[in-house]
Amino acid sequence: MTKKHIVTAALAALTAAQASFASEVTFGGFLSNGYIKSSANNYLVDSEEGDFDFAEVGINANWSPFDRATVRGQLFAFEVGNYGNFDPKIDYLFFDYNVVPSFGLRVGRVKRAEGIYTDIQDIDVARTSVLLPIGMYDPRYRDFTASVDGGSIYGNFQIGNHSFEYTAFHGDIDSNPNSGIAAYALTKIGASLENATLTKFEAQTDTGAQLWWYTPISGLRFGAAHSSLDTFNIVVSAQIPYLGYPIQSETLASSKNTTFSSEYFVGDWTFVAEYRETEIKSRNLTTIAGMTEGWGPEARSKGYSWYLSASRRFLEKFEAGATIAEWVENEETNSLPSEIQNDRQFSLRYNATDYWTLKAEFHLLEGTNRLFNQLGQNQGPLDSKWNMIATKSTFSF
Amino acid sequence: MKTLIKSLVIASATLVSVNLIQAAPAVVVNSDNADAVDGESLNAYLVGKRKFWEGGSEVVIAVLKDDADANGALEQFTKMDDSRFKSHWQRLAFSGRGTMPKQFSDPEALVAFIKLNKGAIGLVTDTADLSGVKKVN
Repeated sequence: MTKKHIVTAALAALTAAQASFASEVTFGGFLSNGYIKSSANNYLVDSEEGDFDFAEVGINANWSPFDRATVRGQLFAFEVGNYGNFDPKIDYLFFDYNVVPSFGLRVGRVKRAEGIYTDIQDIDVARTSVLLPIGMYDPRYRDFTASVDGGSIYGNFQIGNHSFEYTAFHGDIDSNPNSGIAAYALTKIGASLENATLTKFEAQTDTGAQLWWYTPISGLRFGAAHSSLDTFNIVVSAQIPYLGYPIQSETLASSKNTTFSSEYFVGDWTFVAEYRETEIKSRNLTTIAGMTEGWGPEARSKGYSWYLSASRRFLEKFEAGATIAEWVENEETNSLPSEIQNDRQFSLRYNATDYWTLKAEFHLLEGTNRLFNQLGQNQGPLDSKWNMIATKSTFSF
Repeated sequence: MKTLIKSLVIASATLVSVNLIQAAPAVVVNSDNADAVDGESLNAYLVGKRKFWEGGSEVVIAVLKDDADANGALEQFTKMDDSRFKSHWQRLAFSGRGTMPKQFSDPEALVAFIKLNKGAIGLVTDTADLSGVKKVN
């Protein structure tokens, strides 16, 4: 079944549901558009020139067909520079049966729970900043990280004054060769080659779990998450520079993420901190001018990202926030600007109405690791110290 | 001076009496809902930890918009002000983990909604006509 068929079927199901159970189907949605301008380099969009190619739209519906059951779905489209292209996709669509508060089951396209923002990365109104912390939450990866086709279990329970919430998921992941994650793979593998193109990009299953501990201190919670992605198969075809020989590089890779989170709402303040470690194992098969060298030894790399964020509401409709974020792709080579990207982010939000939010922020950046080049948008030389502004206007209903 | 003191006493008495007659918040559910609601379960329903009643109906929350008394009650039961409450539910609703609470400007409309929806729970000032719904606090 093609993506078009899935979208059409989902729309038909939602329309039918609305027609048959108009009083019981509830709808919501959001629409946002932003602008990004950087002093150098092209990050996310053609930012050096300044670009409005930063938009997203989503509409969701919920329906409870019988006791303890709900069907929930969201259609979503986005564009971040070269990624997304407003290609409509089913963000999530699942059947949810809540047996008891401590145990429920979802089957279908379900959200991935990983850290504070993975399953709400599109929810602009749920945060002060325009952009989520660099590295840990990349908007170009949202079609890859947001959901899986499979199922999840979830629930919450209480032990004394302590409350706990869990989610565990398993399923197939979207491996679109035009996605941001594919672009990143091509950028890394093809960095030292000429005319590199991605000829295969496949990913299999993703399994993960998230546990939240709600402490007796009101508004304070801690979380831990782990996910395992098995397996990427990436093939890049290119030419060897100067010699012109055709070269094909096939990579099999798997990755594991471990994330620790904390969030504290106190009065008008919100404090957030997260740390994520990513471990990648990979093997490579190189073929030059038809001659295969055989699979190489397993390579391992470990990277990490973290951020600290504080924000405060004031004058009823305003929020101001500051975030420090660091991303290191490989901890063994973290002194190179091409292996890191750090950000100092200052955000201002204005809630114009109940439904309309305006945001603006300024970034001081260091490093170039998150600058992709699969379409030649960052051919270099790249500035390792640069800054950026981002604005966004969001309607939600 | 005596006049000033007298004026202050009268003003204070007026303020106290205004507070005394100020509407108290009521938590109301559909009259067919047989579930008992205590402080702990009320919090669980209002913050989305319990999504269904014991009888199986989906919990649908109804709140009054821009109503100081209702917002005060909301904060008392959920430990969130109205802005935080909205943001909390946007997180749940847009990630498929809950159904966004309904907002009403008119208490009578909120009560009418509770009457019509078996799983509904609402916060409303008890000066509203609560006939046909069940007050649980």
